[in-house]
Amino acid sequence: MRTSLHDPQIIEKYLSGILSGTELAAFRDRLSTDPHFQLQVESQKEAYQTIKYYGRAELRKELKRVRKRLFTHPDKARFRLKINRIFNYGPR
Amino acid sequence: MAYASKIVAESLRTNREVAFERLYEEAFPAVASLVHSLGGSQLDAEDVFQDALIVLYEKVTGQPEGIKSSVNSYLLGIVKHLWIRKFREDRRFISMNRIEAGIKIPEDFYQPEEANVRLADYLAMAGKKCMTLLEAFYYKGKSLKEIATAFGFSGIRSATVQKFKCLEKVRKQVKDKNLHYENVIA
Repeated sequence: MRTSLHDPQIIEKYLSGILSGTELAAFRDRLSTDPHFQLQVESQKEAYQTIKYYGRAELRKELKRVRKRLFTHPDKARFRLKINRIFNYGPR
Repeated sequence: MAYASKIVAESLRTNREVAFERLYEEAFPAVASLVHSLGGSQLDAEDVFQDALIVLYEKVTGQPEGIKSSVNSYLLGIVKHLWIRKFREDRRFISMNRIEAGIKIPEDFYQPEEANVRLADYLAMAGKKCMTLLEAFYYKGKSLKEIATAFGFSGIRSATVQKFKCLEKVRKQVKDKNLHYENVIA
């Protein structure tokens, strides 16, 4: 690992809760004395959240395709009939 | 995790579009009946089921312990929670068994408005290739080996380097734009 990527890697370990012992102690020490490093940890957390939202957005697009296929494709007529019955004749 | 759940989990991991279509056919009718009995429309049922599939997906790809019941009944449980939250329904009127009651919906599932960054903005952050790579590792739970193969890297080591370079791109964008999310995950 190149030196410039050392920090992101150790921050990832810390945020995943897998740092321990002297590594963890050193990390915490740096965190409490280095504001720049603090900021880096915060923004990396937010980067993970952004990736998650991106993943969800992509997944929603995919699910829309599945949904469209199920509710329009001729092969899925029986499925649609089943669902129709529930909403039109099913007990409340 | 039940055997059937393991199979579903594996197919969600390897070929999720096909897996979702199957889940839709197998689990949606029961959800539709439930939503109908609660006074909801078919559109309500489709919307809440779509959200439930996302919650399920994140559980099976993100948690090694997986889920502890059949996938269909688990989905029904997720739907109950989402329904209560969405319509502020009194939970006493929706019966839940012990497993269902124990299901947790991720706190960040209902995103704060400002977090709803448009897709184009995500891509601008680090480029399509980086976002797809990061999504594959952090959201889809793919291994570095799988990523190396899919993206044409020479091996795990170079996939790791690339992953962190991409993560850094997103991080710097986030920092510059000063986007703020309320619920931050590790």
